[in-house]
Amino acid sequence: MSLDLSSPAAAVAAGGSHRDGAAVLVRGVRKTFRGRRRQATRTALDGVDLAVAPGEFACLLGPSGCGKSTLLNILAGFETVDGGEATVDGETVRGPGAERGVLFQTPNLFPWLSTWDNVLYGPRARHRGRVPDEVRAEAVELLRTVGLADARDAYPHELSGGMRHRAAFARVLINKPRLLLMDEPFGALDALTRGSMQAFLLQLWQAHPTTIVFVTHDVEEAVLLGDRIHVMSGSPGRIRASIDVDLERPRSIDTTETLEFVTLKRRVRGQLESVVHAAATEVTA
Amino acid sequence: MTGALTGVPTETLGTARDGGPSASSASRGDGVRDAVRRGRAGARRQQAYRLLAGLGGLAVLLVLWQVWAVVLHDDALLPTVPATVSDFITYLHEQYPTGSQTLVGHAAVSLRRIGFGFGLGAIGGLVLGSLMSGVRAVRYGVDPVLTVLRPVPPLAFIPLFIVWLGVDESAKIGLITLGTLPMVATATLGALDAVPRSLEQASLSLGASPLRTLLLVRLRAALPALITGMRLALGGAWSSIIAAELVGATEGIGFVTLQAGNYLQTTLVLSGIVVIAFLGLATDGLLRLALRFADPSVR
Repeated sequence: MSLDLSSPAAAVAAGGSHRDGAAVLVRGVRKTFRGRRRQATRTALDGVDLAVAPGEFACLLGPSGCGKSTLLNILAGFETVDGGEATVDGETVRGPGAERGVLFQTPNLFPWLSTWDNVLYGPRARHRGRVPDEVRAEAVELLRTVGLADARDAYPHELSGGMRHRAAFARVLINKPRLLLMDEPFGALDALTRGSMQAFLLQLWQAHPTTIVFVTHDVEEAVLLGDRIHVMSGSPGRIRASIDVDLERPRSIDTTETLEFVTLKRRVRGQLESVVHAAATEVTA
Repeated sequence: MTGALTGVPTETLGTARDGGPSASSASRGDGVRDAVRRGRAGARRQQAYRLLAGLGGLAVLLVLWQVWAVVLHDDALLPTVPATVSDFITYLHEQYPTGSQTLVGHAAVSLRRIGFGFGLGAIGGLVLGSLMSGVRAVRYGVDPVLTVLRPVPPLAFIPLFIVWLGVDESAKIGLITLGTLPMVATATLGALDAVPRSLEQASLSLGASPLRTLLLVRLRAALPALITGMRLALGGAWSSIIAAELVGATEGIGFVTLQAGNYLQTTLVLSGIVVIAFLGLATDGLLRLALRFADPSVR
């Protein structure tokens, strides 16, 4: 997937500071889910600290059930904390907001709206239905950027999986979020589409710099995309290790074939395995 | 129903790899537009084909009826198609029984009963279902009542309604309402419960208020399933009203059909059945039209 950087809007975005985006600070966050019926109360997160610098691409890596999605939902404002604090740009997160864009595992487009109306959903909600002309122009530009210029009148069921994800990107980016929260956004795609979506995301991020918190359980994906990888383990969910990814940017699928990439991937995988193993023995002990 | 477009070349690693900043998005986009257009044209062709096949099926039914009527040669048992059509046309402008209504008038009476009864039941069911979905106490309190009421055919309540309300309009309208309300309430509850939480979260995180999200996402997403529930309830409403008119009525399409049967006017019985079928189809057609507006994937 390629981006058209010759367009004015994209050029302006790319020309801006490459450290655009919000600062994320999570301090001592605790989250428990009350057990339903006879299930025990579960501590999803306990004493989680996380700092993400403006413009940083942070990956949360861990096995299922380690609380990484819970942490993301707290930042998105979908879940409240039971202890500690999550702040974005110094402000405590109190609910969902347009300055924090969320991309889910499924694109979650509104099936009754065309691509165009899906993209304009946010602006319409925020401008009480009256969308300024410059926002319309931006929407046109964004659809071109994500390669859906001629699918603007198509409905979600008429688009392929990858196209739906790109439409979801456009729908979020029109709000110019300072923080992008992604919960295994490519987890449900086939390997080929997934690879092209990862490359697409890397290029999109170059053109629209912003802070990203990206949840994944795929080591290769984390190493390819992230600036920093936070390895988590569950019961209770904690960040056990943070690893810097000092691979050169811009990265592409080719990066995955370099020796540095493979070495780093092995190191991260080793960390992940030892962390999961340690957590398992902790439980049995 | 058009299939999703798969195998569009944009999805390959090749474009990702060689994709410099200047790659042509225009040529790629054309493929998308063409594919969407082709998908929609295919759906329309399929629809035309379905319509033709459906009309063919009805024609076969008419031919079989005619052949059987000629073989039997007994107008009381089974009149011919032309005789039925001729009587049907006659009673469109002549009263039956004399001093009562024409077929059109009887149809209007039945339609009015359906309109009031189904309308009340649908609105009541909508409100009740929404309340059940939103307020846990209402859900737990009302659910057993609906569970008990739903399997009972509304016809079982006819004697009760005649005792309570007599044989006037309110008994028939009440009967239809009673049949419709639990079905629509259940459908509303199911449809609202089935709306994925993440769809609402998407709306909220795009900057929409909770109220906007409730109206434009939660209720909107539930609409197709809700209309489907109403279509089912409408079928039930038609069987209830015809049955109620057979039991205690002096006008209405069910009443005509029974009267004609008592006097062995089989052509009129068949005409009544045709009118009932037509009314059922027409009212269902309205809801199907609403469904087409509500759900782009069935267009």
